Amino acid sequence: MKKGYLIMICIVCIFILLFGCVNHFEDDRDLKCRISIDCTTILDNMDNLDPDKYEMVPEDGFILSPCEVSFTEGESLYDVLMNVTMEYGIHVESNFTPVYNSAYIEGIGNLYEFDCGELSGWTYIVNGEALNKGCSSYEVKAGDIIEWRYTCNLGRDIGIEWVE
Amino acid sequence: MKNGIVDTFCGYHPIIEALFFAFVMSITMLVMHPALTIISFWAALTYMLLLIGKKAVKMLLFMVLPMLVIVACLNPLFNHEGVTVLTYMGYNPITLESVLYGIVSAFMLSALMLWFSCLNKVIESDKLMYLLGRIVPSLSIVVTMALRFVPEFTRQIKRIDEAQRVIGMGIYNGSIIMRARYGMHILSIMVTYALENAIITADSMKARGFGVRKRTHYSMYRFELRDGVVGLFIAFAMLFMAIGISSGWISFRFFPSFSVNSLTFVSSICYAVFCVMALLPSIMRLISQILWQLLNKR
Repeated sequence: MKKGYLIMICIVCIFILLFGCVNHFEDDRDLKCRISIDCTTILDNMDNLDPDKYEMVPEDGFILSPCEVSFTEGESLYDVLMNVTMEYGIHVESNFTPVYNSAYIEGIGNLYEFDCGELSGWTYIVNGEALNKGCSSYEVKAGDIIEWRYTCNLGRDIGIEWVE
Repeated sequence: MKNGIVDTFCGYHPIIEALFFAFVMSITMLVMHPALTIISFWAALTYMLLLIGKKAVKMLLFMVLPMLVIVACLNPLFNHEGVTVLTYMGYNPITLESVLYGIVSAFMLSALMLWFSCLNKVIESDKLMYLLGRIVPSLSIVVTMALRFVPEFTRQIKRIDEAQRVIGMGIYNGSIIMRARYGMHILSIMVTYALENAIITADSMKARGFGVRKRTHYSMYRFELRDGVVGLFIAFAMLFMAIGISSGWISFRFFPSFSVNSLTFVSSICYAVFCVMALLPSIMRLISQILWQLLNKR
């Protein structure tokens, strides 16, 4: 009799766990935002690009065409980017510094910072506005339009003018 | 070679030996190409086994193998470049390219380690002195003298200790305080001796005409015909490899995706030349052993 009880409890536990997981995924990711990853600026600066990286640049410059993704409330830009790139199998190398709670994106799709001139690298624009802070300290809001863009000239070529 | 069977390559002129190691080690170090790295590793291992036998196996197991594993595992943890994502570690990808790069660089490091231990066996201290004596004469004499001081002083301190012990003032006589005092006494005698010794050495060197003219030194190495032949062979191989590498006959790209030179006639010659060059000392030894056995039978 005792053994039977144990097995019953185990089965119930497993079911609870399974349903818990399913519910977790279904309930949490309820908010939507739009995200795109592009490196169109490289197309204008092909002569500066590291020759080894030619084949990494997509023809239209979009590593991820604009698409809608769902996310959980409280997730940062960094989390959203990592979730979507893992889902689509896009390579991203990032560097997280816990002391500043700040993430830095070194490369997306094997295109790295400094690959296209010494002023090149990845940056982001939310709702048409450049934010002067790390991508892990911005909480994504529903309906945000996130653009991850490669710049070859410290943001000037994609319309970002930093306060100087 | 001081002990064991006489190695053929060890009998060559030191300059030729230095040239050989410079060539093989620079190719191993500068060119990250899996084929060349593996050839170099294999050749170094073969020569090492021939030179020191069982000790080489010990070194391989306890020094080279752990380092190989550690370096190969560490690279993918810090380098995430590459198109083939195998798995994720946290938010960063582990890629096939960085794993292979780690393995190749680990083999490169181990090959260099093996070459260095071969170099240690082949180019002994007197050969090293001979080689360096031409480039940096003053440094080489300073090094020789400094190295001589170590056994010289240990011998002298033993002598002083014995003499002090006989008159009851050794470091094993009396209480702890007295022992310490006697020890200090011995040290003081030692320092006095060292200073006096330095003056005597300087006087003696002056009396023999040090610094009057450019020094010549005795060496028992003669540049023979066979040295010239092997030297020419190495120089030719060096030139060929330099041309081959600079013109891209052999090349390997790790990031972002693998790309290797196509296997053409010239590239296969490049591999063959490096293979023969790296195995040169082992081949020499093999040939001399076969000759020895053939001549013994007759």
